[in-house]
Amino acid sequence: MKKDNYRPSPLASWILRNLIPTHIGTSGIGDYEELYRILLDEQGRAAADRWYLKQIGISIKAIIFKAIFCRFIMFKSYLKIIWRHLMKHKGYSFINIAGLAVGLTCCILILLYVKYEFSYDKYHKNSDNIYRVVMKMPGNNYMDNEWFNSAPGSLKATLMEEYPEIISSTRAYKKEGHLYRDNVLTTERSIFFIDPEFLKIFSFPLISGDPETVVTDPFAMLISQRFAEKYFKDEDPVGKTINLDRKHNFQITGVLQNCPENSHFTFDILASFNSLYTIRPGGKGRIEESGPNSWNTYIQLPDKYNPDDLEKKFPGVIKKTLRKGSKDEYHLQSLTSIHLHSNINFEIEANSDIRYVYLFSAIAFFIMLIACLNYMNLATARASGRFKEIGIRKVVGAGRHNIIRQFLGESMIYTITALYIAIILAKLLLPSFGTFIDRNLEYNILDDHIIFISLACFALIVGLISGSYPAFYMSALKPANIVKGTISPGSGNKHHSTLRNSLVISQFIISIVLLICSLTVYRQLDFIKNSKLGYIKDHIITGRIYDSKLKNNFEPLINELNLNPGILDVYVNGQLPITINSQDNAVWEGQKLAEGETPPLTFSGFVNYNFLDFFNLELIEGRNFSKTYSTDASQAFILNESAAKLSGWKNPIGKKYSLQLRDGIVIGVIKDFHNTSLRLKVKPMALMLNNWPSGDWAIKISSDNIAESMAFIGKKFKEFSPDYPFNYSFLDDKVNSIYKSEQKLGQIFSYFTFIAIIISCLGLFGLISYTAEQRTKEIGIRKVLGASVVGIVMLLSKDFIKWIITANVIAIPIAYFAMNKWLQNFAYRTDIEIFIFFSATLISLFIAVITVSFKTFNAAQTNPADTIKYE
Amino acid sequence: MKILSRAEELLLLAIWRLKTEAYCVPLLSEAKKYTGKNWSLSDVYRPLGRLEEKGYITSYLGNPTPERGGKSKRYYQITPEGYKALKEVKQIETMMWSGLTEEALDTLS
Repeated sequence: MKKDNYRPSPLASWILRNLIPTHIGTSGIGDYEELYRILLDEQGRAAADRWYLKQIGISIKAIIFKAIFCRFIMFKSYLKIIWRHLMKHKGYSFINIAGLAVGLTCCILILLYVKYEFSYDKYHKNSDNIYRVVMKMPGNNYMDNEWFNSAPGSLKATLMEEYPEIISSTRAYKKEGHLYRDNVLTTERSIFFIDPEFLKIFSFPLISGDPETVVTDPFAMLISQRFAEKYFKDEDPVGKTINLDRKHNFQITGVLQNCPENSHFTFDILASFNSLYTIRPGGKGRIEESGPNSWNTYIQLPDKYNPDDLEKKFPGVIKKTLRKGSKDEYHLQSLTSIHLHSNINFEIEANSDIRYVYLFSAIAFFIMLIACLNYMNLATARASGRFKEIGIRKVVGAGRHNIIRQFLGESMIYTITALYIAIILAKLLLPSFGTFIDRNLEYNILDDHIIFISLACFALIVGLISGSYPAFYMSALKPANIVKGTISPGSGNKHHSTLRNSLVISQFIISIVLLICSLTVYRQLDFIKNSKLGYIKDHIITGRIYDSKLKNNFEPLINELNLNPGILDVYVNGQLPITINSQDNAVWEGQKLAEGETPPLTFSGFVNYNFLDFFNLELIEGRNFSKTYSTDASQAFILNESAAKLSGWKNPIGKKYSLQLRDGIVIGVIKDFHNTSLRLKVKPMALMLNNWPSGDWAIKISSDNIAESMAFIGKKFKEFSPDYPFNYSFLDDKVNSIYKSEQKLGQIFSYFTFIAIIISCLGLFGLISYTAEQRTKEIGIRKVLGASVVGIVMLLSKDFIKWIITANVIAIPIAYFAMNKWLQNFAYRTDIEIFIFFSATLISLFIAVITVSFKTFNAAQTNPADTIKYE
Repeated sequence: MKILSRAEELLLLAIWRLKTEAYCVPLLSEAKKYTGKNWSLSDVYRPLGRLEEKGYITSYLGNPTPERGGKSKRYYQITPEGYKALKEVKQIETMMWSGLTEEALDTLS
């Protein structure tokens, strides 16, 4: 046998040699070889080889432990250095970590919001296969929108008959009503009348009751768990009776789990659809008839069925369900797209808009961008102060990779700390953020692995990028040069400072754009607030009465109310300026229409005699409605200026006019007023006297003793209508609520502008401190030579002011473009004036100067004797 | 002074028993002899390292021998501290075991 054959294979022993901890060394390998040889003699080569391989496997464990332990010693040293740096530069570290943490917090909050917005209606088992049937009515530009959330009552039956591919379909009709149990219970804004299929199409699980039968019988009612707990406490509600509007008794057949809030409609009460056959005037025939109507229809299609295929067949159904010659079309909307993509007339509840999601995401992106730029900027600036450390480390024997590892690790530890803080901050802020955006957000980022991992990755990447300057650039420098001082932070890295400057400039560009946007949004809101609507809206309370006895005989109540000096005027049984929202085709004397053209749509307002006086509408021609003319009640029209102009008459008074199946004559013309939001142009409108008791009321009260007057009104209503709840609202609140989304937008912009500016200023402050520190000696010498404080402040601030102005020059066109586009949404809008840009520039300069001067004054005022000694 | 672990105690005793021949391979067979279990080298290295770190044993390198592929052996010796530690373990053991005889254990198990 050759000598070599006594030894294990060279590859295996090489591996083992590399695996074995150094302290065991070659003697250890000797031990292995000796044992190998013993085994070889006793059991043969195969067994010996097997044993040897096994030893490698066993050793790996120990080796890994050792390796980690050795690294950890170095790691501990790095940690110590990081901690010392943190403590030595508390200010920088705070700015650095806080800036990033604030940015990350915004980002997390917005991520949660966006996630929530996309979760709407997705909890249904069939959510991908459910569609809503909506109508497009070309030519019917109601509120500038020809799409309607409505369908004829007969559509469901026709669809099921004609298209066997539709699995199931249901109608849903929302009604407001008073619910009673013994005495007054509640005013319920949304009671949904539904077909039995509703519970099969949608996933609203029942807690008690049989899903097959709960809503098949007329006057069956399902209540939510929430509702049951509130009004039935410990009793079992099933089998109990609830009265609707003091007319119809419903029997509770089951209890539903609460409807999730991320639904495009929410409810506490469901009732069987066939109850409507009794409740609605006209009965079953009127409900099931054809022709446009207000029944929402949902259908369920088979899995993976393309809705376009069905939509293409729809023209066939139109003939059966709509009037002859109708140009109306049916379309399908997928359930999950409704919340973000549907904004049509008569939505069940106001939907959100995908544009808000985009806007929010964009803001989150930009805030994050500012925070990252800020972080990188400060980190690199700070790192340049560590040339000496790197030099010494290299002299003592650190390799380049050690320095790279140290700086990258350090930077990542900072970002991870920031992320950690942000996660806690976001949790604390979530409730208030939720209220602000009207969403009941859940803090589930730790459960959502995708979000969490991507946040963590993001933090690491930011850490990597910002750590890469010191790690890769600085680690490559020659230690001799560093230690000798040939390379210093001030010299030879001009392009690095250019990089830093451009980072600051981009931060300010974003901040200034946001600033201009919020200024413009607020100016537009201010414009809306101050623009004359054409009617008075202050100190008016309004409501609606359901008590038919009172509705039909208001006079006694009005007389009682008028006795109180705090009540100035009462208006009943007629529409309010903002509730005039139905349009119809108007026909008038001498109307010229092109071939096939339908008469123009005109708003029709059904009002009471004192409408003009009560709301201070200005009559410019003719006369007001009057009880002295008996024909007024059925024939008089008062047009607004736009309608009068559209008709083309020189003198409108006495001309024939017909609208809403009423033929009459024009008796007067009033000035235009804004019945819709300022987003839309004022449209032609005709007022006529209301001849049915609508129950609407409005009371004008004097501005003194409002509380007393309110209490009096409440007392009187209770007196005259004891069975019904007294609900009211203020007219100016109602008007303001039209602009709720704009107000939200303004708030959002201002908050985020604030955050963006704060972060940018943190960055600016960090940089100026850095510069001032770099130039401490220079400042001292200048002072010795006679420079004034102001002179030095100017010297230090000059660059910064230059940057801010550059940022303004770039930001203004961007903001102008964006805001111009936004303002196009309004028919009535403010101009983007130069003054806005001017003030944005001033504000940004002012803030920057303040930030900078904190440090510059400090630097300029130090005693030169101290500063020259420096170093 | 820290109490020795079982493996440390066992190896210290094995080194004492082997006297001048105490290097890893015979230590391994000693350990096997006492416990009846297969010990791997890394099972021995780790406690030996710890003992050396604590100052209970010292080691020196012997001359290279051909049967080990030219690698030298590392011999171990017990230091006075090592003997002190052994003594302590012995005392603790006697204290803990006092009153419990093997016969008693047999009847109990």
